[in-house]
Amino acid sequence: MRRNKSLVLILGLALIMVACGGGGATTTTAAGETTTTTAATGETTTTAMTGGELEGVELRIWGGSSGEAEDAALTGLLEVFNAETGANAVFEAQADMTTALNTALAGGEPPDVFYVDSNNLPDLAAAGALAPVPETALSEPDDIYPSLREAFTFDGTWYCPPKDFSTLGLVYDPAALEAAGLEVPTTWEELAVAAEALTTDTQAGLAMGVEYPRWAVFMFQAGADLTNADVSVITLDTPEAREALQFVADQYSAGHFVRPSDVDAGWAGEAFGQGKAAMTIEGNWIVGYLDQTFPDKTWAVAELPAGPAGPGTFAFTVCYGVAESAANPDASWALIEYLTNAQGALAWTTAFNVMPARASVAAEWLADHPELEAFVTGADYAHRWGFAPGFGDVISVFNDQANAIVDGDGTVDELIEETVAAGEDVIG
Amino acid sequence: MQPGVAPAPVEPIKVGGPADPNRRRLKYRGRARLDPKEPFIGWLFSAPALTGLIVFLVIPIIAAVWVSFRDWNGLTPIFDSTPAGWANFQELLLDDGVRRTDFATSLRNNFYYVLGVVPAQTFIAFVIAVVLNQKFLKGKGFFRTAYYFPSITSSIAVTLIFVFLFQTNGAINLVLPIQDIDWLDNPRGLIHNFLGVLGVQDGPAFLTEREFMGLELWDWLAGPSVAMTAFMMLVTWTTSGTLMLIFLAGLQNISPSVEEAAIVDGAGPIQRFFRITIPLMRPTIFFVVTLGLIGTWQVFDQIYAGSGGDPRKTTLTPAYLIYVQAFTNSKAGLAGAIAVILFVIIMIFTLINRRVIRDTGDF
Amino acid sequence: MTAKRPSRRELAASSMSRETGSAAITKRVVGYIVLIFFALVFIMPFVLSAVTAFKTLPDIQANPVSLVADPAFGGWTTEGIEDLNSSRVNLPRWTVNSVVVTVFVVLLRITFGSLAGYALARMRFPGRGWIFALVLAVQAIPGIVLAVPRFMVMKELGILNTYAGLIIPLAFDAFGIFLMKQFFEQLPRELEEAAALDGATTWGTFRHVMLPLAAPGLIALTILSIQGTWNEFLHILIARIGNPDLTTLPVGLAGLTAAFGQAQPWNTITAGALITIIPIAIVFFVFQRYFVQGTAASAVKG
Repeated sequence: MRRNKSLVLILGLALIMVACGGGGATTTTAAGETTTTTAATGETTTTAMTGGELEGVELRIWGGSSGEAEDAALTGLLEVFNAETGANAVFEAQADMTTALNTALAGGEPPDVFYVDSNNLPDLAAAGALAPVPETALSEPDDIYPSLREAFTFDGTWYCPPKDFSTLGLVYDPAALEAAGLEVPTTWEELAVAAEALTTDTQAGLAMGVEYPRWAVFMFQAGADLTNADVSVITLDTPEAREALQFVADQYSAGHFVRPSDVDAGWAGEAFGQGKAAMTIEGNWIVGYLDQTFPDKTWAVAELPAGPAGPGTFAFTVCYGVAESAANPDASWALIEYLTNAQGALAWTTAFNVMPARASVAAEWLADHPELEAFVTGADYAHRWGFAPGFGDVISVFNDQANAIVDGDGTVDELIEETVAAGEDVIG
Repeated sequence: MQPGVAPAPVEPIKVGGPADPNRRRLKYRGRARLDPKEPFIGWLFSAPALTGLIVFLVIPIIAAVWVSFRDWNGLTPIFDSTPAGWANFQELLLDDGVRRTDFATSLRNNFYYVLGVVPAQTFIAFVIAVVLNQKFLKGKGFFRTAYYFPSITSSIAVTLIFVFLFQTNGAINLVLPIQDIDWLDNPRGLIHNFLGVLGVQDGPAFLTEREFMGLELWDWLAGPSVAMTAFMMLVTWTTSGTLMLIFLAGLQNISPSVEEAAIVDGAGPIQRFFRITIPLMRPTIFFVVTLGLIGTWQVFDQIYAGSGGDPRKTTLTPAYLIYVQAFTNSKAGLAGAIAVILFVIIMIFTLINRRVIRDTGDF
Repeated sequence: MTAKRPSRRELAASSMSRETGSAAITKRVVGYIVLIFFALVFIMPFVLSAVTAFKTLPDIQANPVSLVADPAFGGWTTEGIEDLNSSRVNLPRWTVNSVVVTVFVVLLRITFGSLAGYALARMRFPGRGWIFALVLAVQAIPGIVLAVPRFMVMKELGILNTYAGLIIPLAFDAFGIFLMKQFFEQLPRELEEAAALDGATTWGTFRHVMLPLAAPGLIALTILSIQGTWNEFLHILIARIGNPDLTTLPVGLAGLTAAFGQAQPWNTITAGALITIIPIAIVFFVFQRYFVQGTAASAVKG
């Protein structure tokens, strides 16, 4: 039933797109693409660049890879693209994406399409190395979650569409919670109670990495943030931020929250898998990891508990970008459109276990992964992970100070003071 | 040593070097040119290597130095960058701020690293080479390969293995009889730890209140952190094999007759070691120490693959900082400036080394 | 035993093996035990990695240090190795590339290095000091900073994405020159003087007298160059930036395991590391046999 509903939705959207496209009798939409939906079989196919206009065009896509599964998934999609358009698009996983990409860009030999992490976007965009999304290149831009679109917008310009995303959720051991007679925490108070109750001699309540990409969610939940929206002012020195950071610091000093390395784990996911913590705050990559390394572990995920100002989480996302100096931008955007429109997003996230970046596809994806709903709903209120060029130094100061707090020789005031000073150094 | 072979002539072979009394018998101190075309041939011999060095090393180095005086983001063509004068150097050395403090921290970390690793690896490699050079050792091939093994792999792969072993619940702690140490997570400096044992917990006021380059004097004296020490052990373990190889090759050049003459003259093994082996190995020792200095000041792979500067920036090194600034912070001009300063530091240390060991070569 | 008076050599030989009493034998046995113990310590991490390559991930997690795969977690398995065999892997091609590049680079390095090293060690010519200073200086800059400028030099020369681009920049190596210079300096000067008196030209002296004597240094340089080139990462990564067919083994394997983030599949990683280690180990074992003391000195008498 759900399948037909989403089908109707897509069909409807397609009709609307067609109807609105150019205010005339146009039948093509983004980058010369046509979308046909066969209601009988429930299949949708997309033919890009009607009739093999990309014949013989070589396209190189660069990105990182997490392994065989991801490679195979992406390569499969590219093969279909190649068959339909006659192009020869190839995915090349890079051993050291940062070095390779930077050298290629600086040397004037960029790949046609490449992954851009939202945290790197400001640097690339500010340097003028990225080409902005052309007006009509991508279909249904509003279908993409606003928080994700925003992650790839710099100085008002949108640079690339997300390929997928992850958010942080509260991953927990249902058996442990039940044994302690607890409900899944939904507020800070409940979280503190649960963490305390679940802390035993052999297990901590919650394992969480001691770094900004984790601690900051509490700040968001208190209504605070490190910077303002356009990263021009450091806004860390507020009572809300203090409240959030103190809450977290107190949990660590009470031993209810634990740093992964303090329990001999490489990261929070490992600590959770080994049973050294009953809960953890991590992203959906933990799912594949647990399946592979701790196949017998039972887990569930809930949305992060809300703070005084409501819910908050991070969205970690990567997009497909095109270089400003790209050799064949039209072909590049055609490929990107193929990979990131509704059908492409669904195909990709079905083949490989990540979340689609488009709201229209969410329902269908959730049908196959109902247990991951908490991760998906996070997209509604997720904050982006990215700042301004050169901001890495400020984050590393934050991380250093946070570790000092957990080590017992730092305070929240010092953290705020040092981070603000570093921030003002970097963004003036 | 084959029985029945006619004995060799009894005179010891003349060997060059300061210990050789025969050297005084040479009629001239220096050496006259034996071949009048020597300068030309000298250039001819050096030309191919020199050309290559210039094209693939010197020119890029000049470019890197030039970039250090510019504001380049590393993502667009070099020539699109804008001039920045001394701004990058100022930011690193003079301006109060996070970048200078990070740079100072990296210098401090690397300094202790150099201090620890260079003597250790040189000494260990030398001893192993001498031991494995003994004529009467059986299974030399096996032992040499075994001791060389750590050097064989790429440093990144070996670092990953080490991180695996040095985990708090890993092999190293399992084997050591003392209480488990959190090797890779402990940011406390060794000197501070030692002073802590003596009862000195926080620094004396005159050290904590004064700063140099944004870092308290007390922190300058922290010594390498426990985590850094783990990396130092890792590197010593891996490079000793390579240096052992070089020492082995150097030992080949020492004629056994010299040793034999010394034995007949009544010298014991220790005397032989100090009076003959070491002086004759002086060029090789100079070589190995210089290599050590050059290499340790540029330590990067292990930090990149292992810790990324953690814990708490105590394993941050200038070379890693270069990578971070150039590739993740899009401040390639600043990275170039760090490289230039590092270059100066390395050259200074190399010159000091030359003074100390007083290489006997003509140079 | 002959009746004639023992030579110095025989005296020395017998003094070195003078100890024949049981105390001496114990000393020797203990010595060997110590050596073997440390040899095992040096190899153990690799043995452990080799074993890890054949375990399952849950097994590695539960028994990181065990040398035997635990049947409870799946026992011995080749899944780590299989993961290396994805559609993007092309081991034969990568290996061929690695071998081709290594062979050419090493040959060139030995040639250029010994020529320049000898010139710097023994010949007098103007500018010699500066060249040596240059040789030292170029090693004092971290390679990472040269990545982009070198890329542009290669681009200008048109050797990007070709075998020439992989080989030529690596063939010019300051370390090799430095090493050969030191080894030539260790040889006695009398050799050249003797050769000159015999009427040999500089080239002749070099080719027929000095080079053979510098054999240990050449062997060392060969081994180190093979190892260095085989494991070379940054340069290969950049030089073949547009052409993945030129990838070498270490770069290709690194590409597979990149971007794993925090969830490292140790079995795949160690499997990849092993594939790159084994050829070098074999090379070393073969070449080190040439380190037989006395080859240098015995030639002097001739």
